[in-house]
This record gives sequence, structure tokens and C-alpha cells, in this order.
Amino acid sequence: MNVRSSFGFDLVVGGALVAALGACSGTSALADAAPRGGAESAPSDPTSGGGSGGAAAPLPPEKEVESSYEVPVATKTFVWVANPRSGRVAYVNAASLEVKTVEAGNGPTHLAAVPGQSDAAIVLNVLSRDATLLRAVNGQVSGKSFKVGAVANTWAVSADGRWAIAWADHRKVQNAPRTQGFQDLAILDLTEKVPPVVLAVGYRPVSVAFSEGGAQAFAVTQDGISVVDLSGAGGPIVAKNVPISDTPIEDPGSRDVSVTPSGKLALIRRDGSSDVTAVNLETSVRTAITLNGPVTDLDLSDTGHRAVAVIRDTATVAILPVPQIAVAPTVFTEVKIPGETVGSVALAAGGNTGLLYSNAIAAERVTVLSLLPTPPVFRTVKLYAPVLAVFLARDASHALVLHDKVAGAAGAFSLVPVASALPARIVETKAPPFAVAFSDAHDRAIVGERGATPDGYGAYLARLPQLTVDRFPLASPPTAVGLVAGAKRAYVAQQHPDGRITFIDLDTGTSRTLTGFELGARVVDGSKP
Amino acid sequence: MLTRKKILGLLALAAALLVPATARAQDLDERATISHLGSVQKHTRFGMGLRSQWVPNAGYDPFAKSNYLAAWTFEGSRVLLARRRLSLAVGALIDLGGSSSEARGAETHLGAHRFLVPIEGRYHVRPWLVGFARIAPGAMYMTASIAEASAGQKLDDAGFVFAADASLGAAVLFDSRRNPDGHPPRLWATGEWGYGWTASRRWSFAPDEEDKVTGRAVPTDLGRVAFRGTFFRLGLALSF
Amino acid sequence: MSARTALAALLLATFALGACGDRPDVWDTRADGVRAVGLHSSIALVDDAAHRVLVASPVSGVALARRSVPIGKGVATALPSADRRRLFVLCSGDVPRKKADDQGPSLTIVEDGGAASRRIELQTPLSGLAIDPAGRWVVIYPAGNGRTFVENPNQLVLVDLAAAPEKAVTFRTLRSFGGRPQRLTFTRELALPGGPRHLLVVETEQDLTLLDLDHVQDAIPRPEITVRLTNGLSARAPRPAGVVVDDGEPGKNDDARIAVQLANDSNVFILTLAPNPPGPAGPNDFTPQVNLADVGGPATDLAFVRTDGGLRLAAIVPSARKAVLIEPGTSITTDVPLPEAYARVSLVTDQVAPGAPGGVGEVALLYGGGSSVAFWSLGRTSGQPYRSVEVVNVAGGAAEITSVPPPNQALKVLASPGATGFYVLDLKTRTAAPLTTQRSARIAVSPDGRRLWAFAPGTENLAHIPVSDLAPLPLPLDRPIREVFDVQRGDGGRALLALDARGATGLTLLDAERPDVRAGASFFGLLLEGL
Repeated sequence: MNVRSSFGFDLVVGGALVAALGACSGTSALADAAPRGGAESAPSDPTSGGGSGGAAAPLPPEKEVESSYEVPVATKTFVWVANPRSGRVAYVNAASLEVKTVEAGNGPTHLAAVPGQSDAAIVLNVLSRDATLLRAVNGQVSGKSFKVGAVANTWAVSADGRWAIAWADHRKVQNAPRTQGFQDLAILDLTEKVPPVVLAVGYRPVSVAFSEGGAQAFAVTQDGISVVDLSGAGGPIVAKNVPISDTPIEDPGSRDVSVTPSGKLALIRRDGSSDVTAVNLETSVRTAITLNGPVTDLDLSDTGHRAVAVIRDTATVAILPVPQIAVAPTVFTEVKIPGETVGSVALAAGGNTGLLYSNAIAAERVTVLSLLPTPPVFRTVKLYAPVLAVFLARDASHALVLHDKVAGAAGAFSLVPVASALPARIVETKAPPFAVAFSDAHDRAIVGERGATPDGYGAYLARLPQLTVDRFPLASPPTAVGLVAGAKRAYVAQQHPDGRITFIDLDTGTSRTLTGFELGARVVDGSKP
Repeated sequence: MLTRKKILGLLALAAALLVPATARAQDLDERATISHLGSVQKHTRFGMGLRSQWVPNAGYDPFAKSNYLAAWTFEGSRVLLARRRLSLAVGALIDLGGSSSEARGAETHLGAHRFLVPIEGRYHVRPWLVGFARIAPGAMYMTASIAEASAGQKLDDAGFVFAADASLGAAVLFDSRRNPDGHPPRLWATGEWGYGWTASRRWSFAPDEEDKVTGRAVPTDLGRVAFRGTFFRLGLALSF
Repeated sequence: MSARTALAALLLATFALGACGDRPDVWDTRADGVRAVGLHSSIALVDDAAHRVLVASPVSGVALARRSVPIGKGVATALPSADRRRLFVLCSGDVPRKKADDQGPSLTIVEDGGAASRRIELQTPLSGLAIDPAGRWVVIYPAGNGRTFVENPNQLVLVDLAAAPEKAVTFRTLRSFGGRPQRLTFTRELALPGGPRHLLVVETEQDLTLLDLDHVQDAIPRPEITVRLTNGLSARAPRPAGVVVDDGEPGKNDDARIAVQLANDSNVFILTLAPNPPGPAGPNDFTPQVNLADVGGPATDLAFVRTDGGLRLAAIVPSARKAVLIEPGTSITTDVPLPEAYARVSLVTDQVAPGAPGGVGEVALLYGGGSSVAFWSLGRTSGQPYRSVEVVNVAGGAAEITSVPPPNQALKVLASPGATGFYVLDLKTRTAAPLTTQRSARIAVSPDGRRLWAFAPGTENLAHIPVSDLAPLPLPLDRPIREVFDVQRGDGGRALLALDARGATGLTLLDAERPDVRAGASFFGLLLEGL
């Protein structure tokens, strides 16, 4: 599993993320402050690949922005919206557009979908320091409260939907003093076999994830990886803390940690370092994997059997077999991408296809890397604007590329056929795009754009493989986009005092906006006494 | 206008007059007898009185709050035929009546004047007491006005209708000792009760000054009126 | 008994009889200030004191038939039907009712001409009356006249004029969240998910109620749907100030909409009457989906318009000197700056181009502010969702607009209260012909659309203005005029009735088509007749 894509953002913080994105040029969305990358080649012609060079100014670090575009809370049929002021959570049936509300705790704010169940979500009530689990069955929602106790602003939920961990991501808290460690994890057993428990982990966790099967949880902290044993008879307990560095005083903000789905291995990349460290979480043994240059990006496949490291200086991609690399650190495949500047990689689900690109320079190309053949093969796709971020459909048939610094336009994105060698299609937007989501059927993608004026409020629905795009203007600034598989609708959440969502039918393209969730839920038709 | 107080006063007067008449009747019996009535029977008589009629007719409603209509009566009669106690007199009678009221805020005035020829059959029960039956055909002149604001002037209507009274009454002689063969003035008190009748007429009120009206002035139709009803009359008469 | 005693007794008895019998009380009541209602071919004078309606119908020439129709006691209100063929008179009866023969509250329906009437007995004296323009329903509700000690303002009495008398009256108490009905609106037939429906929209001070009139008499009545306009987090309640209704596209039954303007809020509510969500069937077969659009200021008027870009809701916002076009499905708004702070809008597309195919685009007339009116063409040019706003200057502006019926439906009469003069606006040529008066005048438009009548209330001034040439013909009368009525005459012609409300009410009757005061007729004291 890739911890970078495991957390969800609720609509209330969507705007904060947008603001963060706007200020994040030059800094990683994950790390604290230190830019990535070491001595590098001079910035090259954006239309050509950059190779190693002489004493040119070092390139800025790659920008990790994909996680800012995570979708808000949608389950199979419903879209869930928390209203901290009213203490209620609105749930909108995306098929019928019926809006209802349900009472939660005091100040419901942070929502997460609960996988493994048809329509369930959990909300963190920040003022009452508890959580409410909401389950929709036959259109009726029931709620169950859990004490949380700890300060929290983020959820991590296990794939089987049994465990939910509320924790505090210090990066969402402005001006937090150093003495605030945010070290408490509130661990909730949603089946109620185990009472809620609060555990302390390392300093300022940056991500929390679960192993396959949910027997363990991992908190990546500045003190290392805290391993939480969820299967003990006495309840969850922090089993151990695994240091991930030989030099504990090194700046933790420059680390990029990935934990395998089995929970047995962690791979750590450090800015400016040619080494990728593999840490056996069972034995705590650390193994250094030395590559041929500073590693600018490391991506672990969702299956956990492969990791791809990108060395921008040498335009090289190293394909690391997992977990074998931990015991044979020199056994891996290198693929050189001549004539290109590649600093980042986005792996598709399954880990057999990846897109290589760089947003440290104004590179107007991406490279499709197919990892199945031996040796791996690649081809470069020409684009017509600098690449900012890349999103792959789960079946790797297509990718959506967001562009940065588009000359003469407020923004743009491109639809890139990945499975077939067809040209990409660029779409100019009226404002910088800020959110992307793909449908489960891989045939639709929704892109949200948000500008400073109403002209720039919009959403684009892309049809794949046709590469046709329709724009839907919006009445309010959008805050998040997503798709509701069960209703075959895309939605765009918008900023409005009373709540506003626009639903777009994926088949017909018709849109309908609901404004006033609390109002919609307060329509009384006499069906209830 | 005749008010109830005035009528009560007249009744009291009539009652008062009846008492001394009873005493005097004995004197008359000493002078004139039933077999020799003389001028007690045959005379010319002039009288005046008060007629009170009950008019339960919707056409009268605009002009009075109640159904009561009063009139002053002035009459004269002469006995033409006399045989024993019976006599027949014919005369002339004028009733001058009227009332005023308000109709839905508008001032109304009514004049109802009868001109009748009473034909009266008399029977002297006593020299001082005469009973009579009277039929008085004639005509009534009714005139009315309504000060209706929507006209800006008065609305008037007037006309004649056939009228007739039929009544029974009695006359009482105050002084019967006068020489029955002479024609000294004799004072009588009369009272009668009967039924007054007029033909009906449709009210048709039109502006007094039609030249000030736009186009044709359409009369205001207040329905039909007929002054029919029971009446009684009290009066005094002087015979010669 | 002695003769004297008998005579005295007879006299007293006669006196007693003569003093009996007072006239009916009606003669002691005043007749001034009577309510007059113009009907199709008559006028009705509501004579509350006499418990009747006097219906005056011009027959032929200058003959006027008068007919008294009895009504109940205590007239609360009297309103005509939309087609002016009936008069509805709501009476409270004897309040309080102490004796067995005291009259109860009632609704009397008087046909035009007064030849027929129908009375429906009610249970409670109420004073509010709302009449269905389609002529099927009458709704009676408490309008707060204070005649009863306790009133439930949410109690409605629905009278189905098409039903048999024993089934005509339905009582209904609306659920309330603290509001009281302020305004009732009947919708025309709407294509809803459950089939064609007529709805009653009840606005209170803080919410909206939808009542399915076609199911109000079901054995198990369908409950009303209440749309609360506040989210419950604030004590401030948005106050509805009017609704407009649109049936959506022909052939679709899920796009009927109701738009609500608010008196104290810059939001406009749009309710889409959508199918019920899947699941257990609710008591109603449609559900309103709520949508809001902020138009930048309280809207003073709304209208659904069809532009080249589709259906829009036009909101007039005089505080911002603009109109706002709202896309109902997405709440996207487009501002249209206006040259003046107009307050009202009226769709005039049919009058401008009746029967024209859809290519013309809607045309709306803006008025009610400043010193002009404006034609707003709703089409689409590149970059603009509307075509043009064309101003026509009229000194004094147009606070009121009166439509002229066919065949001159392209004309509108513009007037402002207190103004000396008015304009006749031609929607096709976009000209505004001024007509000046020596003093402030009121305008009455003939129902056949061929002439105007101008009169100064309280004076004798009257003028006939044919719309064909706008050449005024002065017709000074000899009496002050309170109102004029142009009605159908029994012989097919038309008559003008000028009402003189002094005293027991008078009328001057003229031929409306060839008016000549010399050939007219004057009537006086009408309310003295027929008692």
C-alpha cells in the first residue's frame, strides 16, 4: 500500500488544501519545508529532455501534489457532508438527490468513508471529542457514537472497515508549537469487540496505514515507524517503534516513507540521497539500496511487489522487486530514459504501468513505462503545456495530466491515452484545475477548476476513450469533486453557507444542483409523525 | 306632527269630557226627548279631530319608523233625512296627514291628504248619544320627498289615488238642554273606528330639477304604497 | 260593562294597535360606502346592512335591471371570480350566536346578473378568501379580523365548486412551525410525477406549504408538504414575498418548479417538484428539491423566462439596479445591469408576437422604478445571455401597468399614483403615447380591449379614449364618480356604469361604444330599492 494515497479529505478542509496548493510551489505537500533534490542539471528547454549537466543551478524539488486532489467522502450511493455548526451530517442520495440529515456529535467536521460496507461513513466530532459511525440501510441512517478522547483531524480506516484510527496531522494545524507532538492515536473497533483506546506513538505522525488483513497499523512518525498490534487479546497496543534512519537527528521532513501491504517492509527515500532504505519492520533490520544518483521519487505499487525509484540526475528509473530487495539490495532493474527529464513517477494500480514526468521544470512530456515486459519498455508522449501532476486511471488505460504555468490561459489539463499510442488531448480551462477523480469504470473523469471570479467556477467531465470533454459552469467556488459509483453520477461540492453540490449524470451529462442541505432535509411531507 | 304624547293627551281629554257629558245628559233629557229631538237630530255640524291610522305597508316604511300615520281632520256635514231616531247626513271631510323620517340616512317627508265625502247614517240612542256608521269615498293626495345624496337634490313623487273610509262611531252631546226647536250651537265629542283604504300606487321618485341631471333621470322605484289599515278618529264638533 | 267603559276600552285598543309594527331595521341603516364589484355583465353592490347584493345589469339601451340577492349577515369580504362570472361573498353571520335562529357563517356565490345564487353554510366565521383562477376552488381562511375570540390561522376551509353540496366543503388545518398564512396562490395544472395536479401554495412569514388540491378530499387525505426556509441555526427567518410557478417542458413531469422570492433576504428559493426517492412510498407522490440562488439583494419580482439558453428564472433586484438570470438546475446566476432600479417584470412575448414560433425569444417589460420602462429581449448573443435592454422614457415612471385585453393585447397602460397623466405603451412599436390629465386620474380598461376610461375619483370628470386613435372624448357628468365599470349589455353591446357612492348609491349609465351623455340615464338611491 502507498501511504501517500490512504487518507481522505473532508469538504471542510478542501478549501484549506486549495490554499495550500496555491502556496506550494517549490515545496512538497508532504514534507515540512526542505526541497527535494540535490546538485542537478541546469533547467533545460521545456520541450526537450534534460540530462545531467555542469555547474547549472540545481533544479527545485518535485512537487508532490497528487494527494491534494483526493476525493471527498462518497460511498456507494451517498455523498456525506458534515456541518459543524448544526451538529448534523447531511447525506445526499446521489441517485434520487434526496437530502436528509442525521444528528452527529458536537462539531462534526472530519468525515471518512468506511470501506467494506455498502454506505457507511464515520465523522469526527471535534468539540465533543467523539466519533459517530453512520450506516445507511434502505435509505435510513443509524448512528453509533465512539469516544475518541484525543485531539484528531484525520482518519485512517482499515480496508475491511473494522478499524478506524483518528489522529492529528500536524500539517493541518497552523503554528503548532514544537511542544505539541500530536502523538495520540484514537483506535476505534467499529465492530465494538474492543473498546476504544488511545495510544501514543512517535512525534508528529505524517501518515497512518494498516497492513493487509488489518492485524497491524503503522504510524510513520519523526521518531520512526510505530507499529500498532491490533490483534492482541488485550486490545491494540504499540508493539514497537522501528527506527528508519541510522542518523536519528536527520531532518525527518525530507523523508518519504512507503510501507508494503503486508506490513513487513518499509522503503524510505530521502531528498538528495542516492540510497533507498529498506526496513524490515519485523526485525528492524535496515538495508541500504544504493542507486546511481539522488532519488527524486519513490513509488510503491498497491500490490506491494514492486517499487519504482526515479533518479532525475541520471534520467534513470530503478525497478526494485519487493520484498526481495531487502535481502538482495543490488538486484534490481535500471531503465534509462535518454533525452528526458524525469523526476517523478505515478504507478497505476497493479504496478505494471507507470508514468514518468517532472514538474521541477517546465517539461511538456510524460513517459509511459510498461513494467511487465522484460526489459521494461517506454514511450514518450508529447504534451503542449508543462506538467504539474499526473493521475492514472486504475486500469491504466488513460491518464489525466494537470498543467502548470500555462501561457496565455488560466489553466489546462490533458487526457493521455496510456494503453494505446494515441496523441493526448489538451483542454484549456478557465481557471487552474484543483481536483481530479476517475470513475470506477474508468470511462469518466471529473476535473474541478476554481478561479477568483465566478467565470472560473466550473467542472469538466471527460469521456474516455473518446477524449471528449464538457464543461459545467458552477454557481459557487468548487471545493471538491468525486464520483458516486452506485448512482452513476459525478458530484462537485461547492462553497456555500447552506451547502451546495452539483450532480452530473455520467450518461446523459445533465446536471442538477442542490443548495441548502439542512433546508432540503427540513422539508416535511407528513410521512413521519 | 302628532306624537304619542299628544295622542295620549287627547285621549285623556276625551275621557275627561265624557264625565261631565254624562251629568249633562240628564238635563237634556228634560228638554228634548227621544220623540222630539229637533235640532239635536237635524243640524249642520262642523268638526275637527285627529285621525290615527295603522298602515302596515312596505311602501310607507321609508317615511315612518312605525306603521302609524296621523292626520288632522276637518269636516262638515248636514243631516238630510231624519225619521224617528234615524238620520242620514252627508258632508265633506279633509284629512291632512304626514310623517317624516330617515331612510338609510336620507331625510324623507310624506304628505297624505284625504278628500272624502262622508255619508253617515245616525241613530240617536239617546238625545245626547248618537251612534253612526259612515262610508266616506274620495281621493287621497300623497306627496313625498327623499333627500337622497346620490341625486344631489331632492327626489319627489306625488299623485292622487282613490280612497275610502268605512267606520263606526259615536257622538256625545255635551249640552242637550237647548231648545230642540231652535238651532243653538251644540258641542259634540265624536269618536270613530274604522278602516281606511286607498288604491295602491307605485312610488316613482325623480329629481326635482331634472334639467340638472345627465341624460334621462330614471325614477327610483320604492315599490307600491297603499294607505290601508285600521284607523280611529277623535274629535269635537259644533252643530247648528 | 257601561257604554263609557266600552268606548274607552275601544279607544285604547285602537291606539295600542296603531302604535304596533315597526318598520324593518334595514331602513335605519346607512347605505353609504358600499362595496361595488364589476362582473362580466353587471355590477354588484354589496349591501351588508341589508344582507343582500344588489346586482344591476344593463339590459338594452340605457335600461338597467336591478335584482336583490340575499346573503348572510356580516360581510367579511366579497371577491369576483377571475372570469368575472361569479361573485363570492363571505359572511360571518351573527357573532355571537345566542339563539337558535341566529345565522351562522356562510359563503354565497352570486352568478353574474344575479339570476342565480348558491349558499354554502360554514362552521366558523372566517374573513380571508382566496379564489382559484381556474374557477374550481375557493379557500377560506382566518385573515385576522378579530371577530372571534380564538382563531387558528392555519385552519383552511376548502370549497370545491364542482362537487355536490354535501361534499363541497373540506376542513384542513395545516401544520405550522409558528407561521401564519399570508398569501395563497393556486397553480395551474402542473405535470407532476404522480400525474397532473393543481397545487395550493401557502406562504407564511417563514415557510411554504404545498397542498395537493386534487387529493384534498381523499378518504385518507394526503398531508401537505411544508418547505421550511430556515436551516434552524438562526432566529432570523426568511420571509416569502411571492411565488412564481413553471410547469417545465411539455412531455416531462419532473421539472415543474416553484420559485420563491424573499422580502428580507438576497436568496431566491427554487423548488423542483421531483419524483419521490426509491423506498417506501410517501404520502405524496412528489417531493420538492430545494435550491438557492443568491441574487445580490432582495428580489422584488420573479418570472420564469425561456431564453435561447434554456429556462431561466429572472429576478429583479432594484437595490442593485440589476436583473439576475438564474439557471434553475445549477443555480448559476448571470447579472444583467439595468439602467434604472426597476422593481417589476412582466412577460410580454405573446403580446409582442402572438403565436410566433420559438425563434423570437422571450421579451419582458421592466417597470416600477425611475422615469422609464424597458424592454428586455432574452436571447443570446456571443458572450451575453440576453439580447438587449431597450429603454423607453416615460416621465414619472410606471408604478402600475394595466394590460389591455385582446384584440389590442399589444398595448399597456402605464400609470403612477398621484400622477397627472398616463401612457399607452405599444409593445410592438415600442412607442409610449402620453395622455395628460388636469388632475390625477384613474384608468379603467374595457374588457373588450377597445377603449380606456379615465376619471378623477371624487369628481365629475370622465373621458372615453378609444385605443384605436387615442382621441379622448370628454364626458363630464353631473355627479362625483367613485368607480367606473365597462360591462357587457344584455343586447350584446357594452355599457359604462359610473358609480356615485354618495348616499344610497347612484349610477350614470352610458353606451360604452358610442358614449353620449345626452343619451345616458341617471339612477339614484339604488340601495333604497327592493327592500
